[in-house]
Amino acid sequence: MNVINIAHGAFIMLGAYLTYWLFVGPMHLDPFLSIPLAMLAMFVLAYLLQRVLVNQVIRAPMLATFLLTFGISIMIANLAQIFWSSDIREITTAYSGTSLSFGGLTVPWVRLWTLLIAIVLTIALQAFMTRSKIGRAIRATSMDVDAARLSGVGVANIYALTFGIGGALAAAAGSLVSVSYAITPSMGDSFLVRAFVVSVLGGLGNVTGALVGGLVYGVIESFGALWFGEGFKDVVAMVALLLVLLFRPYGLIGRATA
Amino acid sequence: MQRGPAVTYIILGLLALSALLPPHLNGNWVHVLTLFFMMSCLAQAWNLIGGYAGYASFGNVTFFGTGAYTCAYVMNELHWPFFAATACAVVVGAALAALLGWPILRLRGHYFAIATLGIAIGMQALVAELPPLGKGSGMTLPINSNFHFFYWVMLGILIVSIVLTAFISRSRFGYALVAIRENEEAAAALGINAARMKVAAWAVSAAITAAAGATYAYWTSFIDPPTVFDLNFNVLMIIMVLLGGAGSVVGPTIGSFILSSIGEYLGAQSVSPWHTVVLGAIIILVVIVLPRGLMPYLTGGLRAWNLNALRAQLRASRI
Amino acid sequence: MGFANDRHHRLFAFLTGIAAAALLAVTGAAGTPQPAAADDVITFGAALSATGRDAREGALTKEGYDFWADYVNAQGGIKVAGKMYKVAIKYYDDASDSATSAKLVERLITQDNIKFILAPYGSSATFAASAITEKYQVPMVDPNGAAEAIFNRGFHYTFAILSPAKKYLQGILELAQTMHPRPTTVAVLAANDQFSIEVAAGVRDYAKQNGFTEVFYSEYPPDTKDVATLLTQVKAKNPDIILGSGHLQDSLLIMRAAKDQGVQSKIIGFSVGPSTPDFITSLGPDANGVMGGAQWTTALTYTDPVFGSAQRYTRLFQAKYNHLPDYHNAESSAACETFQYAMAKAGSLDPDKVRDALASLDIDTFYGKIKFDSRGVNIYKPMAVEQIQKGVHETVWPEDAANAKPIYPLPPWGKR
Repeated sequence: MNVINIAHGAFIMLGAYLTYWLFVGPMHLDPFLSIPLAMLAMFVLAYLLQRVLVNQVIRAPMLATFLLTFGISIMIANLAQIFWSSDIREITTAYSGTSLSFGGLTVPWVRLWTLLIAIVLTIALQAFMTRSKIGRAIRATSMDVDAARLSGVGVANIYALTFGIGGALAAAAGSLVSVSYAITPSMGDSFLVRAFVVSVLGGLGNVTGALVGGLVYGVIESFGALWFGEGFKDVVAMVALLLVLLFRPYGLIGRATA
Repeated sequence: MQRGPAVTYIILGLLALSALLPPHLNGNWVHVLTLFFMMSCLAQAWNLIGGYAGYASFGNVTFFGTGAYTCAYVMNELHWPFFAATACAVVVGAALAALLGWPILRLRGHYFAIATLGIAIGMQALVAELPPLGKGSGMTLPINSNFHFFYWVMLGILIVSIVLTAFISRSRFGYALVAIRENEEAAAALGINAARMKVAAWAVSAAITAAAGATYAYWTSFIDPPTVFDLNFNVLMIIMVLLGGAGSVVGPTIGSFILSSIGEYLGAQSVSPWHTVVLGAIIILVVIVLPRGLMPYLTGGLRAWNLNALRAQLRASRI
Repeated sequence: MGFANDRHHRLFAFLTGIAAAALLAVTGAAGTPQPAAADDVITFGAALSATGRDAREGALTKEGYDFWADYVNAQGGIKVAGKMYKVAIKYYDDASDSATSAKLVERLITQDNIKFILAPYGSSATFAASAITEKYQVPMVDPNGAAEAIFNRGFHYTFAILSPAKKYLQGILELAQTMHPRPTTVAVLAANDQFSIEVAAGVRDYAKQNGFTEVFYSEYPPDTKDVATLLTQVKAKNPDIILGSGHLQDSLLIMRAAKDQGVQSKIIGFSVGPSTPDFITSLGPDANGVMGGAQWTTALTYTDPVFGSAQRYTRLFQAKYNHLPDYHNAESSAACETFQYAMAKAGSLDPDKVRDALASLDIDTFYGKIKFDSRGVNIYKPMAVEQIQKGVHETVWPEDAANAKPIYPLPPWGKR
């Protein structure tokens, strides 16, 4: 939809904090079980933000959405800092640190579940985009806004829904990472950068592209660390990204959009 | 050659006058203004590739860091004086942009943006691993506590970059860049060598950025990878260009002035993060009301300041 | 939202303008009021990280500064040349960016006319700020920038009260030498930044000279999000001792990854992290047994006339802030105390006289001995080692300050 959402990192952070508060609150909700709640909450927030704010600048020239979402993201991150302080929060469940061992490999259960849930969400999103009426409306709007409008699509609503779905997925990501990483107000930044890189690596406008990009990136980063040393892993990953784009300018499985 | 809008001359005049300021200012204001000049340079440079050519680079900070490290290395290891070191930085920056530009500028839109982001990240990681460059500990430079010197150098680079942008905007090169931005296929069909033009634009952009980086290194006398390859610089330079007006001669400087003033005012008020929250709110409000930045209002004369024009623009921007 | 008609549009634009103006006005009005520039107030300046990567450590530092200021003010102030002065501290937020630290320190000196600077958090920021204080000849006391590189530039106005970086992890190896059976193999992980590399270099040298074998050494990017690959390699080498040189978030990351991979060593220790309250609250029982190099612990037996003893400081601090002070808190308070002594010794508030007094200071405080070598480094204060036992910090080294026996070797994960 051509909206560069800088606030994506902030949404991830909010999802993580929401999961944290549900975990330490009276309900003691397991982080994985709180994913649907976090997704719902962020969907609503993201929908509202798009409807009220971002929709004002969709047709504005280049990168206005970039600027707007940047403003949103620094507001959210700093409000989080004010209300929740910079204390580092961590979620440690009974099963954190347990792992599956086979054939000399040790795979932490938490990571495995994270991967499975990511795959499930990707499949669900893909199905939604291709099979459902709203999904088709989204794809139509992304191709040609005016044609979609003429066909009866409420485009303002569609933009907001799309942003809402993005926010919901960010919240899910936040919930998933909250079990493995420290939760701080500024945690979103590095995830944001990786998210951009990964989605471009896989190919934009393509749901499975993100999953493929993520897996490929993770593998390259880890093997890069192993073969070239921990310090070079980012260099290796970025060189790989550039090489991929050189030979496949629209990402691994992306296509040039019309 | 046509004359530019009045605002360009006004800005240049103000900048020239500000060369006289340092003896009358305390250290804090000299520092603040030097920083403002530097950010304006970065924004002006970004404007060439992002505003005129339409290729939004998320990795221009790479050249800032490269310029800083080149200057540091040359001054420390080769013991050359500052201006020679800056010249080296400019050459290295432009060469790097030319080298990377050939393959990378073939990418479009978001792909180009993220590829440049990748370059910035990769360069920071690479520099942090090189022992001659101090690895993660960074490098120190000879101390020069004549802060007025750096004020004038940054101001000089800024004025040069504005004049350069003005000349480019009225040259065939500039028109070619705009043509590329509006419709690259059509431009190529008209005989414009898009590849060469884009690379040239990025090289000039990189040269200015590297010069600013070199000056920054000598000014602060200490650099390390996270500071000079900080992606925040890149975000800020883009925001400044957008606030002021992309694709205009002095828009970036105006945008830089707006952001720096507000940031400085708010930052001085309190320590709490509230000041950044307010900054975010202001950015949001400004971009909704002025999605093209301030320039169209400054060049359109007073006619543009009526509510009808504003309303029409708001209507055109939203969905 | 689609505006139904132009009147709504006008209203929106009008409200936008009002909102922007109001926001600016409110923040202006809510700004920190300047302390009375009265004759009897000494104002110190501090650019600290209230936001950003070092926000937590910056917050701990501020607690330390504020605790001292409130404490001495409650006593009537500090005495210089027979006159009592209240103290105040002017803060700015450097957002964990060292270039901003330098800018804000310059602002404190040239705009706010402050003559005494308390250093920002961290070696990087202190490094940047030291050039500024040197130029304006304003003394700066540094409580938490331990990289010696700061002091190799020939500056005269910066004084670090903490033990230098290279000593951070040595204590753990000193302790290890007294254990039976004596551990011999060491793995070192270091973040790729100035401070952490100095710490690692120091402990690696010590290891080499004292009969330890280094089986693994790797640096990692300071903002890394994933250390799984590192820990896999560490596990393969099966070291007796694992030492991590980095910052708080790194130590948490490494602990988690170590547990995930089931990495079991006899000793595990970090330069920064275990001493903070967050380490224990974040890791729960897994934190038990972890050692940390400590600039100061609550069990030390130093005394001084201002706070009495380390224990009294602890009691009063905990009463005020609801958590036990860690060394970040203590050294920050000690930095202010150092200024206090220097001013009293100089008998003047002239920055150069205070600087000279600092250079020749030789005092014992609740934090330890404070005395500087010719570069401004406090090489006279030893470091201690803490170990977390049953969710509480215990001092296990040096022997004369230890208040608990070290747990050795580490029990398996899940049994801590």
